[in-house]
Amino acid sequence: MGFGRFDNNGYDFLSRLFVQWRKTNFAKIDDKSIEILRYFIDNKVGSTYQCHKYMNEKKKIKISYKNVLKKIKKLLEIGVIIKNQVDTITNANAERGKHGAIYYTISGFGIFYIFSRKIIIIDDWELHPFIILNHEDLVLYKNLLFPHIPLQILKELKSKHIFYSILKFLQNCCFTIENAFVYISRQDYI
Amino acid sequence: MFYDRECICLYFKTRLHLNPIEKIGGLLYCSPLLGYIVCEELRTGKSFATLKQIEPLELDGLPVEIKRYKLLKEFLIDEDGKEILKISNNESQRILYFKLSQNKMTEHDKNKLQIYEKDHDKNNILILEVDISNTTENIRSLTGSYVPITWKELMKWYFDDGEYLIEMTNNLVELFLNMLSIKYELIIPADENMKIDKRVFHDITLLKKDSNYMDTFYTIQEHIEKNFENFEKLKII
Repeated sequence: MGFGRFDNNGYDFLSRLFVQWRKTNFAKIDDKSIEILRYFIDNKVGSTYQCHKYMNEKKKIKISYKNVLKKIKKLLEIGVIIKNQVDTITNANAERGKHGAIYYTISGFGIFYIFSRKIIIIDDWELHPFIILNHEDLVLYKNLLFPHIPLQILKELKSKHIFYSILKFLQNCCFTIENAFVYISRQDYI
Repeated sequence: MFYDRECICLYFKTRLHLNPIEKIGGLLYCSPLLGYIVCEELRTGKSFATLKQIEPLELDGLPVEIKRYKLLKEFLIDEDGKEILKISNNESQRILYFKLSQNKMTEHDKNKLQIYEKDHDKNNILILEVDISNTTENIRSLTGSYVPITWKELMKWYFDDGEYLIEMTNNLVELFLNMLSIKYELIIPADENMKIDKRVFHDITLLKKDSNYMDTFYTIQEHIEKNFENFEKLKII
């Protein structure tokens, strides 16, 4: 069975993912930063200002603009989000702000991080379909998910039950990949 | 030929076109005087080989302790993919014998790559010689080092087969079982009156129309039939 195999781009993706993972293996993200990450899951791009608004108004989490900026910088440092540049993992271009604002988007590593650290699936009912639908170019999806369930079908799915299963599947896959990374990183020739 | 009294180093480094062997390389130290063998870990196509798989090795009646055993998987592989490394101990010849993957080498390469032993009884030294014309560099200088490889190549070795793929297959099986609520039904027989969200039926109907999904589904079903007892439930689709 050829499940879980990667194509040439997939191996390229894995290698960059691995390098990034090694850099940030032990990085921890606090709860508020996780909420910020959720913002970037559901929104393809966003600025600090928009994120601050989302936190205070939608999530009812009191946090100052300065602290949002601080946390975004930390997320940027870890590599889970990127600013106006080509994502080295997804090769996706982030959009540029209209008024000079710096816009950010979640990175390929960020999506991997979210899945492997089980950040998004807190319960069955809080789903984030946009983590797939907004990031359809992610090689991970192209290699592991779309060969079995194409994007078009995913867009038409209606039941949370099915979508939850798919997210859980991606979570398991990322967990498997991270386990492999752990193993590889322990080899003394690495 | 590369050897000295205490350490025989065998190093394979083939020409560039001899992919994938050339980039992996194998390193073997055999030191009868010290009484151990160190080589890189052997990774088979399916799992990591254990030391038990290697025949007990003796040199001049003395057991050779295998300290560490490691070869990158594509370095040596049998035609049938099962027996990757073979070490035999012939008292008269005392050969450490590597069976090379014939199907990964061209005729030209086969002719060039020769492994043979030479008798050096008085020194109790095993000598292995690798004749790879035009490719042998200063082997001794390479001893203890590794052939530089790219991360991408490394990823290929680890993610292209073995336990990783088994786990990935299991993930996919779980996905399909979850999607069809089959996992639950396999454990507890479904209640005839159990109501299922209509949207699930919508999605399953949608999925059934997709050939990719169905291809995977039938393969999964085949997998389930081999691995589960109550696979009948899966056929409800």
